Amino acid sequence: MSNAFDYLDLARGLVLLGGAVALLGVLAVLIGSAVQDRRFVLSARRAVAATSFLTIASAILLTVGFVDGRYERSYIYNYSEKGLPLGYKIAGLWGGLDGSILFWAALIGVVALITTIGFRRGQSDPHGRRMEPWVYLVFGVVQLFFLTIIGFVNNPFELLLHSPSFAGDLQAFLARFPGGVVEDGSGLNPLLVNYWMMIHPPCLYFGWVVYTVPFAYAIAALITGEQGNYWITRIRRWTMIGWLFNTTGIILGGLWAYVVLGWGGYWAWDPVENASFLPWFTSTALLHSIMVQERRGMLRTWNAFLATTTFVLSIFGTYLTRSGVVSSVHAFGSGNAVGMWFLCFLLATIATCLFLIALRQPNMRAAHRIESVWSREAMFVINNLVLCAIAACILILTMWPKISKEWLGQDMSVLAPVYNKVTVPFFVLLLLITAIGPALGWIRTSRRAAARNLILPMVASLPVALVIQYGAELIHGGEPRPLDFSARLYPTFVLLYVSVLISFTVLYEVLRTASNRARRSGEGFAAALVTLLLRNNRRYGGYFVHVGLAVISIGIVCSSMYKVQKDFSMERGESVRIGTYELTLSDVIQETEPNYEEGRVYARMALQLDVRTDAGRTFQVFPERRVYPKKDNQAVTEVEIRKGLLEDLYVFFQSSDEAGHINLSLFRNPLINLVWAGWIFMIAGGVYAALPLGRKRVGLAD
Amino acid sequence: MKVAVPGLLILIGMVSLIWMGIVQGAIPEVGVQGLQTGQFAGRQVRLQGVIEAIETDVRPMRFTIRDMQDPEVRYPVIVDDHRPDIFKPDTDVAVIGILDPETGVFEGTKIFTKCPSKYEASDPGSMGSVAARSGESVPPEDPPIDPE
Repeated sequence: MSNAFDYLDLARGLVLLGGAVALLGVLAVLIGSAVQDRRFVLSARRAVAATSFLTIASAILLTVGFVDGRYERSYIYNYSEKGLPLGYKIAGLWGGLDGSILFWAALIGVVALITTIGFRRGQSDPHGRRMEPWVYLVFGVVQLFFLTIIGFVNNPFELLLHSPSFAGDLQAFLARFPGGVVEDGSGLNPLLVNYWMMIHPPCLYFGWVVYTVPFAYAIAALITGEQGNYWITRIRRWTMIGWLFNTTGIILGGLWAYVVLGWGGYWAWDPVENASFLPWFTSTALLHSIMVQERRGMLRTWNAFLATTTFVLSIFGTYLTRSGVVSSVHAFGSGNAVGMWFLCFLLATIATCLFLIALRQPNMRAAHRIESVWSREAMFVINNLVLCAIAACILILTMWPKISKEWLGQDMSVLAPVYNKVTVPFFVLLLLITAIGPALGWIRTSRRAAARNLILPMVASLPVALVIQYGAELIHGGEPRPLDFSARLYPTFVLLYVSVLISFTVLYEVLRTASNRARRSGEGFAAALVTLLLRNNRRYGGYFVHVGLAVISIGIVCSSMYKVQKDFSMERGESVRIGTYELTLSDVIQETEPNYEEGRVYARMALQLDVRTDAGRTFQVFPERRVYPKKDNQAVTEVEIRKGLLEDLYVFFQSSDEAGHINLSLFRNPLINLVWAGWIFMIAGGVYAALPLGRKRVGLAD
Repeated sequence: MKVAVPGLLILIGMVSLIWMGIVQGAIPEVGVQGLQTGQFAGRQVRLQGVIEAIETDVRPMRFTIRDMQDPEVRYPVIVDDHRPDIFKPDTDVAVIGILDPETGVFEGTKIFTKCPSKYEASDPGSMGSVAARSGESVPPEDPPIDPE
């Protein structure tokens, strides 16, 4: 490009300018606090806003570069090409390391801007005025860190000529690209060309980025010694939003793996997956412990710890993903300089948080103590401990190859069964607490009242859990043994039972409370129920999330314990059987056809399988294998999934040989769709709980 | 103090479960060179290396794996698992299995190839033909095998 004005150079300039402005904002906070002058706070606010605008503008310009086909830029060359549809070109922004950091910084800009607007509107609040500069300090430091990396370590605007492949060697560059014109990019890997690529990473990134807000407020509270509930009420909705996006990112990542990778599963305990899961546990714990501080004035230090830990874990995930410190089936960047930057930032953040917590802890006394284990706050505390224990287990197991190398001198790999063995007991405990919690009141619940609230759901859950297990056993194809508490069935039944119990406890609690209200107020039951749900959206939204968790849990248990997998080698005209399905290979379609609009030609081999069920239903499935010449003839499988209410028929075309044999893998995944359905419950409940409805809560602490 | 006991139990449970899980389930991660020492013969390991030559890509797959650092060090591998999408020469691969000391063949039960990365750019110098690099459409060099 020989243009005198290049908007991508401008974009890089905006990044550098943004970094300088962020630094000025940080200095304004420090000087302002030293001289006690409010005008410096306003300068810091403007600096955070300006940095945000500059970063967002830079990310938009890079996106324009993708759409515009500016393949002379190394990053755009590597993650895009002419023939890609617009959505995937835009997704190129977060498709690689350099762009994903800019995207992250732009998202921080978005939440920082919203935070500054919040402070502007609530200027009269004395708590807000005290904390405001320190929130800006945190945003300024985080923005400065990311912009420094974008500006000097992972520059997404670098010219291809100056990339490590050519290192400025013009002769080599011209030999590869005659006339110096780079007409097309190398394109996204075919496995990434999937619509989930446009949705899953932004969701996950946004969830992680939103955790910066609770972190900023927690640091501000620790610096100022703010002991009240102001900061907790400010972060509750932010934490919920971050949690919703984090949850969505995790589930959609699983769904992506399920529909693309051809192994019939959705979770493999890979370090990348674990990294996305870790902050989810601590943010879930925070959402619960916030309520304890609001209502009982307890867990003040703990809440600051959870808010900071959630942020630290989201940065840890980024470090893990980009440094290559632990080997993964995902091809991490290995030996990237950025890994060391993230490690330093991580260590500095942890040291600062620990120092501030240790400094303020003596002054952050709880207003009350837990009076009984049979109270809601005690259940919240135990729930927090279990969530943190699961996060700690996953963290240690994920890092075990590194830890063992340092301590034992030998890399030790931890496989999925170890994760299951270690975490499943805690998950059972977590589900049990989730089931019991709503049946208990604040401060103290008599055993009689607790028993009254629990016995009916406990009894009702028993037959339902048995029926689910019986049905899953039937789909599994074995002899139904619902009462056989053998090694395999006993833990399965316990998991199913506590999951069902969660739903029944919630249902019983809602019906009982609505019934009491109707009796007291003289309203009809339906009117009482609606009023109850509207006036207590936080509580009932939360309960809805619990039901979603129970539904997901049932889906995970059934789809993993009762999954059926069979491998076949077959020829045209042959039939194979899996459970109630009979599949006949009726045709093999082989063709070369254009992919998208231009350029990306692939050879395609599709199987036509006629399926007949024992119930007489017939349909066809077409699993495929595609070969992409532009990616060194990479073969990509297109899985065929026939979705059903009770199970999925999953057909994976493995390979073919010269003799004409087709190798197929068939899976029956019982109740797997409950995993995705449960996610919808969780999101609906979370959104409902976050809505500004209902009455203002008055804490018992007040 | 009311939650100290549950907290302590959770902590003890966590340490015990991690300890048992690691003792019973963690397996050594070795390079192809590491197999030569003989110290891992007959033990389950996670073998990391690079696919060199593929004898058959149909289950059970047979191929040769070479060391990442020293390409001269190779072992024959047989894996009874699904063929991953990115199963081709020069691909980084991890195989879980056992080295049979008598035959010298590494017998795997699980194979992982690395997913295409969002975080590792391809090198323009290592990508297929010049035509492909410059954006022209090229027919596949190795189209799917016609079953007929």
